[in-house]
Amino acid sequence: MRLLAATVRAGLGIALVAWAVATATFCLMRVIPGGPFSRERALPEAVREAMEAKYRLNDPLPRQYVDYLIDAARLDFGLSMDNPGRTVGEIIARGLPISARLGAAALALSVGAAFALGAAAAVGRGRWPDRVLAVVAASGVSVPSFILGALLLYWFSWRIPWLPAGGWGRPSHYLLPAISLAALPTAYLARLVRAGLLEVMRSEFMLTARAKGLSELRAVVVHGLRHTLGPVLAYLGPQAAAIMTGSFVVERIFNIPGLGRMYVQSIGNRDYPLIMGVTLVYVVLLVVFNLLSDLAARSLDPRLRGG
Amino acid sequence: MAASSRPRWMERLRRDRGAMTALAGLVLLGLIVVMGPWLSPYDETSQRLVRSFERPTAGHWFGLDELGRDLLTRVFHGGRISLAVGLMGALLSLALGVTVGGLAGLVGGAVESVLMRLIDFLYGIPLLLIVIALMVVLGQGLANVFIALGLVYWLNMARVVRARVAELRSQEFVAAARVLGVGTAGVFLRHVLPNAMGVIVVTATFMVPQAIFAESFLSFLGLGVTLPHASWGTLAAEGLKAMRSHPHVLAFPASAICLTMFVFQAAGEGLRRALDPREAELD
Repeated sequence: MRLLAATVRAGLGIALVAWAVATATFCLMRVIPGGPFSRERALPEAVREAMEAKYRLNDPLPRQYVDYLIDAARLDFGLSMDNPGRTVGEIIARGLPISARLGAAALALSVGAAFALGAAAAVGRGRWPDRVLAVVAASGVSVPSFILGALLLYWFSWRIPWLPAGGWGRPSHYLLPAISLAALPTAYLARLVRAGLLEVMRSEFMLTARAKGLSELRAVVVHGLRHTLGPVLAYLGPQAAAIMTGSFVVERIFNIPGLGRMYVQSIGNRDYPLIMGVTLVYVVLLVVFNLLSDLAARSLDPRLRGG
Repeated sequence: MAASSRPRWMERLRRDRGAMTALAGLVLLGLIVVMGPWLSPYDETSQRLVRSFERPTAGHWFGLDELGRDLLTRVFHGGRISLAVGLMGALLSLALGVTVGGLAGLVGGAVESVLMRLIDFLYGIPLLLIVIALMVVLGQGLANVFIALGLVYWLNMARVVRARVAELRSQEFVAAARVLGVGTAGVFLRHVLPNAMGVIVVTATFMVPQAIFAESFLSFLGLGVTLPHASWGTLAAEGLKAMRSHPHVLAFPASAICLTMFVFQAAGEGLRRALDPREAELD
């Protein structure tokens, strides 16, 4: 019942966020100097006519606002200014699946690496696995993804030509960008797993597990890791955000035709409909992801359900 | 409490070798960035196109860039910009965050719940995305980078300060001060703020590398500082274009960014261990 109420509240929250961001984008697009609706900007005649028809610029402002909201709800963000004849929706539909697949790979990689590193560090506390984690954690938070990406690209596709330097389509295209994106979340999550495990290892049921004759490693893997799953799930939302913003630069470095690279291009070209459409999609996706990870954490860990 | 805990945190800090090393690193970094441009025999802007992309030599320790400018000198100057962005971003968000968080925590009630709802709401959106949107609206430039970072990164500070202040609010010495007739502002400035200083300093220290990172990210996207300023982010973005044949132009600014981020993070962790031992239990 509580879970149902939480789900309903989550749905309302998403709608609220989407409305607020859509409203903000509507206002911004009409305020920015040199924005899409100011007359200073030289536009191809076809684009201007299409835009005037599309945004019904002769209607009163409140009417425009309502129409805009209805269009946004239907995922219709209008026409791209720098890709004549293409709608923002088409561009997003082409780039998003690529970015989503890369992001999912990076997230899976970081969760897997975090559990492995965190468990090894907790079991080998104060010995070398712990130091490996310390180094990974320190470099994860100190090396920005675009620097790590450039480093990997330089060494593993140029100096030692093992992996493709960029592009998209084959499985080997995933590895270097996914590592670049996963470093920061791995650093964060691995410390979470380690701290959670160290706490669990002091508990009575772990004593029982050991008394039953389970090896330390088995006890940790079978009984301990389950209890770190809750906090890891709860922190997946911010990690997904880090991967998403990281993809802006990583996709450009590795020449991946995803949404991140298009977003960066649209910023460079001041292609406002595209910027605003992609921002809206990103924000809604992340808020949904945040809520899902929060719900998953709550349903898994009864201690979190109070709030 | 404030008076008696001061020697204790200093003692803890002094015995923490990692923290002291990191703080020494911070001082060194500050010195390098302040003194570097004066000590360098080269000018940041003087170009020698014939020596474009020359590798590091005894005369030019970091080599030359595309236009034949001394890279070491450019890294010194870039450090000034990057650290200025980091410190200004941290200061602005400190001022906003402490004000809003302190107000919410101290006043409580409807003000607190409205402000915190608003902050939670904004927090669900990735901060860097808001910074990017702001930079698109404000336009490029050093001042706008300060403004955009300050306007966005205070959210975390406000959350941290609110939590600490709300905790202090219910304590006896605050109640005693109120009973003695001290006004809200007096209670906040004289009794609550000194006790919240630990978390504020720690959070601000972590904010500096975040701001430096955000700026380098913006520069990479072409939204950061503009000429004549060049931050480490600008230099790294330039270096990326040429890194295949001339890796040194990326390697040096990139290392400067990473080292600075590391030193600030380590200093932040060290300060947290000393000032806020309860929160540092993770290790």
